[in-house]
Amino acid sequence: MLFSNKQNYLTLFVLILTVLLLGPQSIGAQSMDRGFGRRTETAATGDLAFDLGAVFNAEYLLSDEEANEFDAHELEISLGANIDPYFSAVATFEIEDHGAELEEGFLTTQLPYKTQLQFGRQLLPFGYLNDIHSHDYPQVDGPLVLEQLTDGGDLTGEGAHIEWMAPLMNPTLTLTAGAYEKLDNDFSAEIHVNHSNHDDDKIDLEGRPGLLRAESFWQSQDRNHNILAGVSYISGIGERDQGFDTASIQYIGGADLRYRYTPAGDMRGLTLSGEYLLRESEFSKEYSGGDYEPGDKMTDAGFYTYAQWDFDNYWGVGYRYDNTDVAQSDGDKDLTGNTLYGEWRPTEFSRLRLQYQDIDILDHGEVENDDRIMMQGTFFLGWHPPHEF
Amino acid sequence: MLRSKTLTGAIGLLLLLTLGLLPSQALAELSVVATTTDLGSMAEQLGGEHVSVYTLTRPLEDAHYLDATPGMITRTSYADVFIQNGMELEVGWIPEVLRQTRNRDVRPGGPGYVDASRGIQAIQVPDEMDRAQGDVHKDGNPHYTLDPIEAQQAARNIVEALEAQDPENAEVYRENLEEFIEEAEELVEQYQEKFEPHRGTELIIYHEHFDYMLQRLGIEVTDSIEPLPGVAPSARHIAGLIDSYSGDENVKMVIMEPWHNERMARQVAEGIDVPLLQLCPAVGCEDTANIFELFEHNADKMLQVLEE
Repeated sequence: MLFSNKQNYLTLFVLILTVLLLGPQSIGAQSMDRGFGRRTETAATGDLAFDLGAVFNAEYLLSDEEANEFDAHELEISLGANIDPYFSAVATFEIEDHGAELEEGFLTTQLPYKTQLQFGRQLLPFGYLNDIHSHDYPQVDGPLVLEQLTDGGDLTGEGAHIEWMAPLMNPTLTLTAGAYEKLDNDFSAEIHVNHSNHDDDKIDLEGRPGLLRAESFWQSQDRNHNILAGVSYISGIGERDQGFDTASIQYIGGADLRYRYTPAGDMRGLTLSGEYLLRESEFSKEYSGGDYEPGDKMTDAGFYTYAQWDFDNYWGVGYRYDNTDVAQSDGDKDLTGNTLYGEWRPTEFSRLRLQYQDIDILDHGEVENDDRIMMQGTFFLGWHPPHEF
Repeated sequence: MLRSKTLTGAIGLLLLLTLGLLPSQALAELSVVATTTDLGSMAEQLGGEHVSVYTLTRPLEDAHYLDATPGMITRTSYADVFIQNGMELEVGWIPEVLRQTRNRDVRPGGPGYVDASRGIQAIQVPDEMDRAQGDVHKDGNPHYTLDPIEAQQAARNIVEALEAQDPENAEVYRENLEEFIEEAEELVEQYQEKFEPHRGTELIIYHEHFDYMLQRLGIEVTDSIEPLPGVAPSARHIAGLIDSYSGDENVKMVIMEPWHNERMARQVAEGIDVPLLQLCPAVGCEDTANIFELFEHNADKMLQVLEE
């Protein structure tokens, strides 16, 4: 449970103290637009933009009653401000059942030729969902392909990326290139520039993780139809951590597409969205066993797609389909998922979701089925949540 | 040789395409991006031929509920002047757009940034902020452009930025401002006279969108279909409104914005036996070209009901 140990209490105490010291008038106050973006804040003194958000999840598994949970899933606290005319900063702390951590902490600055540099610890701009915090996902949980191929859909790096915005208004074009010291994800935990002591058994990644992304947005003349399309590529990721101690992920490539129908004079709307990911890994020369030979390559791939219909500002329903193939040493594992959900947004500051999910896992010729019903409540304390396309 | 020609041709085509895709405002003297059509039309009136204006919202779009799109970020990145309504009307999306814009000139503090609400005499400023009161705005009701008199201050703010970004034409902008102020005074005076016999008339609103205009014309808001700002009405609330105002001869009409639930509003109007009026929320609706025409359009529509 949340705050179940002393360390968590201590972290919370330090965070609250920081907030109180930095912006004593801020809590419960409102926006005072200082140019710092996605958060609305707070401080009467004007120097600090301050966010506070909390997410509570309740989950009920049909297939395993003993695993049912009803707990406070996550508490997120964000601080952000313009440091001066040249730099702005964001720090996001996340407190979950297993502890507290700095989820993101980065600086942003604008450079000539419509470029922007962002550096620090950050969710990578890979695909559509990766740099969205999990409580803002369109469904209660993340898509299977992100869970399986990118360690839960939150590829986090310590490093920098630069974005260039072409002088094209419709469609737009944004190009991003990033370089990172390391990725903070389970499958790469042991590999970054400081290789482990078992380098002999592993593949030389020849450098640090690097990222490329191209993204384009198009809007119809009447602005009823909106499309966002992107392709992403990340290389030099690290060791594959799914029973392949001697295989390394060479790259992950992805393509994402998002469509929204937004008629004017009407609060209804349709969203169609999806991502396809492909991950390639390579066995070390010392590998032996299973269906593979040393130096062999293996591929994992999958996608998700969903449709959501919003009846108005308050109610929406949707369906998501998942399909992912994960390579194993003795045959692939195939996961498919069907997810139905509905959400109610009483105001802009709270959202309740109910979701039914049916997952089939085909592994060694046997199908394992997992049905679950999930409930989620998301509550924003203090700041106005941002609306992003 | 052939390959070289093909390459040159491809580059030329790419350049042409790029130029073709550039917005027309990139070639104008001043490129202005405004969040609402009200502010966009004001920028056109004040800037005249020296500005090219792009608005981020459409006339029948609730400016509170938009998504920040990459298109908006690009538009502001290449703009000379950016005008927002302020008072938290665009709080859900403009902060994100400004955070990501590659243009320091149009970020708060920059010479091309305009918070048009600066200096506005706001109404409905809450005594204390509490989300239990609904989606309230700490600076008060943000829909001041519905009142041409209150919009005069917004016009001054816009002209200040136009002058800063284009000093050569400062004289023109100041003259246009004087004309704007004069026209606003004349229009409002004319309609205040027309509404004089109806001063104190009561009506029910859906959302607090037209309150500046109503106050200027001496019309009183007696209740609202939204129980609290931004909160959907319940069946009980609707029934309560009908119970409370059935037979109340002081209440003359129900007014609403086009994007709200018409069925709910009609239920109330029919329940208390008064007309339901759908007014124009922003410039561009019903071919209104500027905030003066918008004011005229809405006032005439109400007058027609009151004089029946």
